[in-house]
Amino acid sequence: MRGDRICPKCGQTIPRGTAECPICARPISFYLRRETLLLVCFAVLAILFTITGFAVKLYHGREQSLARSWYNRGENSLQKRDAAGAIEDFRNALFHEPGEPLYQLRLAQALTNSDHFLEARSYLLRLWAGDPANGPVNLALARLTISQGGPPSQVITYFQSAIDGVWNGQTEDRFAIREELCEYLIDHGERTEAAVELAALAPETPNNAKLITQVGTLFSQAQDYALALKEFQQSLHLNAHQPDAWAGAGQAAFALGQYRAATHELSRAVAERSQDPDAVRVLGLARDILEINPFDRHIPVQDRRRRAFRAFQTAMVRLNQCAQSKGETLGVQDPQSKLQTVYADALKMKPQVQSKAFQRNPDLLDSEMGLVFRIEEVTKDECGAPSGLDEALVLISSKNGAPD
Amino acid sequence: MEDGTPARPASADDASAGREHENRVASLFPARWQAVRAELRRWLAKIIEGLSLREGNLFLVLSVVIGLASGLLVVCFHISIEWIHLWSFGSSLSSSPLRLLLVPTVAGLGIAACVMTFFRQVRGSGVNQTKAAVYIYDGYIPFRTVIGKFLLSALAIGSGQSLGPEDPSLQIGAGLASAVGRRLRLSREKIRMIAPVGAAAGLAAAFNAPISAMIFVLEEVVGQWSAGVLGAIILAAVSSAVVMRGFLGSEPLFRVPATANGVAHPSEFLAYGVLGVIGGFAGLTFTKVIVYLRPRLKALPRSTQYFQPAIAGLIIGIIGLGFPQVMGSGYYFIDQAMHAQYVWQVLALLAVFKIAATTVSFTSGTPGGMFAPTLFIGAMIGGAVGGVERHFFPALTGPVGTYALVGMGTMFAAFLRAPMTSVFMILELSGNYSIILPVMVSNTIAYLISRRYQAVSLFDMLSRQDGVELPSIEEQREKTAFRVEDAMRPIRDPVLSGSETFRDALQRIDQSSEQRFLVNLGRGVWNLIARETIQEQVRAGKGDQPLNTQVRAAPLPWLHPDQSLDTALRLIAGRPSLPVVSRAHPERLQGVVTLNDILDVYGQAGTRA
Repeated sequence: MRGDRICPKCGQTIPRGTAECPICARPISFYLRRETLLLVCFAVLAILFTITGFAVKLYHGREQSLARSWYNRGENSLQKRDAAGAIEDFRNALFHEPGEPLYQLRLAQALTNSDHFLEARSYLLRLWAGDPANGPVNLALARLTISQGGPPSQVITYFQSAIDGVWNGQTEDRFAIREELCEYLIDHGERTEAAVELAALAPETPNNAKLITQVGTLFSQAQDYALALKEFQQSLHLNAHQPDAWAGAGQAAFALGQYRAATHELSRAVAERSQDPDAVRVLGLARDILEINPFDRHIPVQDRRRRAFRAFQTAMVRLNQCAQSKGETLGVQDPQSKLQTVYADALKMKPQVQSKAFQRNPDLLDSEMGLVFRIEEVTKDECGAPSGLDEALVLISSKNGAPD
Repeated sequence: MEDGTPARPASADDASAGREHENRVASLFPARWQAVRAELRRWLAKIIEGLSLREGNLFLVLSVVIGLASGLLVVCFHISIEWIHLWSFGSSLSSSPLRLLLVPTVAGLGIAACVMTFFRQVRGSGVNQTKAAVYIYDGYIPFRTVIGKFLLSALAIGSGQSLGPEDPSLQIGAGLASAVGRRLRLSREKIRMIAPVGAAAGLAAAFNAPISAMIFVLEEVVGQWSAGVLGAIILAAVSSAVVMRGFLGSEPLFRVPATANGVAHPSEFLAYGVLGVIGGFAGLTFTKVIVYLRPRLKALPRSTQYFQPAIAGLIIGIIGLGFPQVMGSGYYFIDQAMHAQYVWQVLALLAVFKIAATTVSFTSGTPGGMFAPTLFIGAMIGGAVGGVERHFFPALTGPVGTYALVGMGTMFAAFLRAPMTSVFMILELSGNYSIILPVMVSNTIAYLISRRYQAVSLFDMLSRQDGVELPSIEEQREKTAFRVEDAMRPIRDPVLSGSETFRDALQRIDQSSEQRFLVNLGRGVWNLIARETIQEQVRAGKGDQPLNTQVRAAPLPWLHPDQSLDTALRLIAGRPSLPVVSRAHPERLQGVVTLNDILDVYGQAGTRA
């Protein structure tokens, strides 16, 4: 006989003298059997799933619509150049849809524009970790790295990833990014890298005069004047009424030593009211070169001699003015300074320049112009950059007298 | 928990009621319909027979069911909080001052009225209530608590009270599990075990971190790594996390920045040490303030309890005018802090104000949890320490996000005193193993500081304030485990050999005063022989026979020095002593242990305690 015990199954007291728990030993209705109740549990679970699914759908719908509305407000704020307002709006959008990459990206971009670099970087790197091939994220990182003064290698990597990344078929964007990369490379003196990128950019350029002009300008900035001229000419072929393209073409031609073409294109640029401030100056210079260059193959011998003589006179005037400004006396017995030395050489050359021997001995032209160039170089070193015809002579000298 | 009662058994007239119901149905429907019904019932019976399970297997199936159901409830709980927040404060992060002041105050009045009238047991955190259910009420948690916790916690958190949804989720899961277990008539042992299973499911869904939830429940609620409950907890936690992720996405509560990884420079460990010290003292302060304020507010006249949550709400609203980030669970702002949105001064202020706001919310009896505020404070402190270091040593400092992440673990270790969970939680949330060293350095320092200046953990203090003496998991964890080597004595009496004759044995034991002697029967088999038996054998003329002719049967169990004294106590019952042998050579005797030796060790330990 056992005493009072606790039923291990239900926890109730088993009365003295009873072997089994009176509650647990009682037959259980079919409906209250464990298995039936388990089945009911599954059914309840299914209903709960349905209800929760419905509630979640409603909730997500509401959150998405709120997030979208805040996002749109943020975009409007950005258009109004209200970066602070945009940041707040994008934050609100993210509050409702924290995982949305677009909102994070836009917030990061707004933060970058407001110089909140650390926070922007944090968002962007997280996005990047989730999708390293995302074009816009890589671009934003490239821009952020530029703003933070990061290493060029990293900037280039991000730009390259942006160019090669996924852009949802927006080819226009790829072009703009490569252009931005080229500008960055040119600004940082990476001309070789820039030339490589430009070579890739040119074939990608859409058949749009304005865009082709931009590419031409980049080629000019990268000092690849031949390709720059080609791009400008292509652009002008599409639309001849582009003062900047004319100016660009003129300057590229000028840099290539094609002064006659440069004069033509720059004249057109001036006529089309180009905004390029250098156009008029370079045009004047080109005209001066065409006026004074004795090596021009298109002129007769008499003109050549006349031009050489004028160049000599111009150089002598420049030499005298330079000596005066420095308080130096040129006509001394024993020349000491560079100015005095070239002046002495000029005095020796002067009789020959003025004689008729010049016509009999064309080599004299080279000697005379050699002296002229030397005078211009010395005066440039001693008295600063020349202007007008003197500048033209220096340029002719730098091109080694290359004919047009 | 004061309202908890043992499980109510099923109604006594269930079977007869079922029969009456069938008779009534039979009188209402025609014979053809009854035939169809009988056929359907036959099929149903077949299905149900197929579902027939033994209790152990049923328990595992139920773990999955509870996990799924808890996950669904926590999803609804989460959505409820968000909806309430949206209705209360609008869709913008910055609400009008009037709303900031009015919403938590008015909601506080409503919450207090409901708590005082309908749901008295939903006050405060759910961890202790679940623990009480396990240790005191045989796993019984009234279902009314689940409803009350769900509604009032959602209202409290949604209306800006500085509390989190994790502890309520834990209790919702535990309550649901308890109800299901009772309804399915599980045994008392299983009902007691099923509450932690539900708790793990609820917490896993709320945290979206099943591993941390499992470890927390094992560390804080169950208190031991019992194989019986571990499998069920894993199943439930994983099921609920799957449901949560299925409905609300796999994004964690806050997005850890990609930059948050490891240390930038070895000297940064110093900074993490500093973070551990600051976090330790911050956790300590937080605990002390709550422990001081809670009983005093509770001791005020009952009528004041109708207003305490409202006053807490007003205070939080006033703080919210300057720092709206402290309102609610604050996960979004943890996210922002980790993404370096705030300067260190703001982060430090946010930590201070969050401690103040959470203290008034919690001590006023508003239902809600402490996990989210703890993480918030930790993130802010971590971010502030990282910000200061970045300011002074920019080259040596990693991202602020890493500091915020480590800070969360630090505060968790210092305030909630769950060191294992704190480490695993950070690993699980960050998904980054490289952060483990800073986390361990900082957490250990913070935990030690907290232990040094606050002997009893917050949860244990809260239960003691409520007059309930729950087992302290922390004390259990650190209690000295006695081993056989603590009780065993050296061998002084002769140890006999099985091949020895009775006469030789008698000669050897002549000098000893003991009455029983160990006999080595070879190959690690031991037994005892009484002096009287040896003498009898010699007297009977069997002095030349070896001992093993008498002591071969029923060999003695032996012990090893590293085994627990509990094991020794189980084995020694009915035996005067047991041999203690080497693990490598069971035939090599290292000592003996008697019942008195074991009891002496326990007695001395009890005296010291």
